[in-house]
Amino acid sequence: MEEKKRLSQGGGVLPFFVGFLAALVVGWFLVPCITYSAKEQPIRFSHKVHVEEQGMECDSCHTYREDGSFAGLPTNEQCGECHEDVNGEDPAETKYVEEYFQKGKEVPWLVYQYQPDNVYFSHLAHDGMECTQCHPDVGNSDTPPTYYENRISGYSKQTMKMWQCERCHAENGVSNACYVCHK
Amino acid sequence: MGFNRRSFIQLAAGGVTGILFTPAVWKATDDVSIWTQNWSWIPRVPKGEVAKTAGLSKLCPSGCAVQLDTVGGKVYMAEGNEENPLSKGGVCPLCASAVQMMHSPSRVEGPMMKDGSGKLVLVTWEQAESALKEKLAAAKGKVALVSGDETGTANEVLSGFVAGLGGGFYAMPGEATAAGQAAADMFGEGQIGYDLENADFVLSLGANLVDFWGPTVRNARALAETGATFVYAGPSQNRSCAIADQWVPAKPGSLAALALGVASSLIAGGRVSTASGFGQFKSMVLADYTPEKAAAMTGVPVEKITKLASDLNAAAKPVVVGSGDPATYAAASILNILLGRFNVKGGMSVVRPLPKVVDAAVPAGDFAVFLADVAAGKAAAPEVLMAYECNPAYALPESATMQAALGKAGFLVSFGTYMDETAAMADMILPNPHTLERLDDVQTPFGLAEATYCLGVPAAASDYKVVATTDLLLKLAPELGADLGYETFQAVLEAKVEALGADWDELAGGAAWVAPDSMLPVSPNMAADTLASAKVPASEGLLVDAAHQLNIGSPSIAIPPHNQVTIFDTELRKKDMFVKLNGNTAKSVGVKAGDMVKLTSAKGECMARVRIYEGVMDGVVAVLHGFGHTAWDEFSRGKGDNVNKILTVSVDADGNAVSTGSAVTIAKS
Repeated sequence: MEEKKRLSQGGGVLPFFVGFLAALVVGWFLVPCITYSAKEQPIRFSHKVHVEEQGMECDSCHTYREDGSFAGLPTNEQCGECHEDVNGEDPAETKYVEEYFQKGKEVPWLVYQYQPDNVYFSHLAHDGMECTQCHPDVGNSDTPPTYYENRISGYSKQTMKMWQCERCHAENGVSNACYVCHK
Repeated sequence: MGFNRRSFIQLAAGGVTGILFTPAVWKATDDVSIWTQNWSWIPRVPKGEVAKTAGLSKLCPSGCAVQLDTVGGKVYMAEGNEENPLSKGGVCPLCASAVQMMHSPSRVEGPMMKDGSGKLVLVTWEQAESALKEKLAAAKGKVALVSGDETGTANEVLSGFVAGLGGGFYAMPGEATAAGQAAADMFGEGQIGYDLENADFVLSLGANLVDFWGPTVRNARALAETGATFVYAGPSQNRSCAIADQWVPAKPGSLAALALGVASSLIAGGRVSTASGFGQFKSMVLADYTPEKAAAMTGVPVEKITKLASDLNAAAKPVVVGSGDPATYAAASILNILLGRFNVKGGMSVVRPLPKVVDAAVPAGDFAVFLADVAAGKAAAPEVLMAYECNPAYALPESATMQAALGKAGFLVSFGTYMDETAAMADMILPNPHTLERLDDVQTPFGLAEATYCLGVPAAASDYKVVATTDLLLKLAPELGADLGYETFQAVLEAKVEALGADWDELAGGAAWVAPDSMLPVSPNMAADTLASAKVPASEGLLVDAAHQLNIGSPSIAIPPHNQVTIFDTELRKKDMFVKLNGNTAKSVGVKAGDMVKLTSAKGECMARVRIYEGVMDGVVAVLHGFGHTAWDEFSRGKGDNVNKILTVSVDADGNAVSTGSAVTIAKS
């Protein structure tokens, strides 16, 4: 009688577990899905074509400037050395030449690991490492991977977090003092 | 089993507990903290190549050759240019803010005209040009243009344009104008310069060498590097006096008399000159400016005047630097001539003018004198009055009178970059690009002993709808029947560079052209008419000593936002500025430190708090220029009061504006 009364009052642990399990599903699967929006690069740039067919190296386009700073992604000035006019039949190249280069517009590439302004990162200081230790392995891709943008923070899903930097520094005996990365 | 309140609470509790076992809350907290980095109003660090480019800033009256730091082609900081002989790596406090002033909240966004209700509204450049052309054509020669540019070839275009229309061309009063009037009287041509780098004894007659007078960066460097004995004569200790070896307190407006007293002592001691008019001058000073008479006029003791004369006599390479008004410049020139320091290395010289390339260009008149005449009804108010790179509604003495006279103009046009007091009262604003956004030049800044030329090419594109005034007027000139022979200002500057025999690319890269022979051989006339105003009239009340400090702005530029932190709380506290009196003076007028007081002159009133400072001579109240703006932005508007309200201007027999000290009364408010 007592038990019946308790059940009729909604007692027991069942609602708790239902809520618990539902939250786990939401927290582990649903939230990550809705946190990020999927975006594609404005041009389907094929690294494979450039690396395998044209024999280019990473540093053919991703160069250091004279002062040692990393130039990042190539601009129209560099791309235009080969793509002033459409060379092949790939619609992606046609799109680049006609919609960007010929209009003097830089391509708004989506950078997978753009760091916040308060982080000072020197590529030159990490020159001995493989690019893929930090970056997605896009060098052999024919289609750039989808870019997932955090709807709240605005950064890419693959933007490296501070703990990742710190762990690598610690493992390699490099200082983790604040001023090393935050000038 | 039903779903009741208890079940709901248990479900919620389970949900809350469960969510804590997922990354959702922690990740969201982290994302929100990172989201705050990207709020739209937070400035972003531009990415790109870090580089340096040469620039020319004309925010200060002399102009500074600067090195501009850029990232991704965007300018972010101005520093001194080590390659340029004018700055040698230094930069003045105004030009150090040049990049920030490109983004000042006071920038005029585009051409503006008053609508039917008298409110300034944005219009297109086509509308503005058409309206200006119509007004100028209808004015039929009753036009005037005032320029605040002391050094630019732009003045040739502006003056040629307005002269072609039959109008008058004027310059804002300043050191260059005053010295120019003295030079015209004594030498006939040329520009006065002082070779501070090679002098061993510098007597400054009120010249605020390191804060406002001439090329301040070069002056400070010369005084520091040469180790010359530096004597500052003036009513109060300013920042130039702070680095002086000796301060000679002298009443405001009496520095010409002090120089003539020293000249009298030198002549009595046997100094002579072969220069024209020496006999007449000798008779005059020995009669009217004996050390005793000069002491009575200046407040400087007789023995100090004779000691100054003997110190100058004893120095190997002395130079006397004038300031303020034509009489002081003329008196300083005469001292240099008597000392044998005229047109010699380490002395004073008359600097060769650079070649003129716009044939129609005419010399400038003194705008303060012209506007005073308009105010008094002695001159007709122009139908169209144009103001280029200047702010006469704020910066002229007797500002209330001058503003009223400006208001008499039929149509007031501002070519300013900023919404200053003149732009705010204008009928039309045609914004000129910021100094780093336009093609411009600097010809021999006033005070420099070497004829020099610097070129400034645009370092950045403007984010505003601006058109260079020079190009605009060159376009309108032929349409109004005043063709100047050039279609663009670049063509004018190319002609100037060619006339100098200089290299455009080198100049654009930050180098300066320096004349192989800067001194102009002239025969000085020591019986200068301008000396007539050297006598100090009797006055009642306190005398005002008003000084500029470049960190607080200039007559054309208000306090740069980034310079707020350089203003001491003994100069400005919240909305109140300070005036300085010494203890004796304060006691005699019944005020004490911190009192809010009203300064009243014959021409206006000014409010300030009292600061007791013993670096001010008896009977003097020391005041800073640069406060009391009514336009501009929150960084300068309503801060302190405008000292120009209480300053007075008088005109000598030659039509030159002279400053004989402004007398004020002071009373607790």
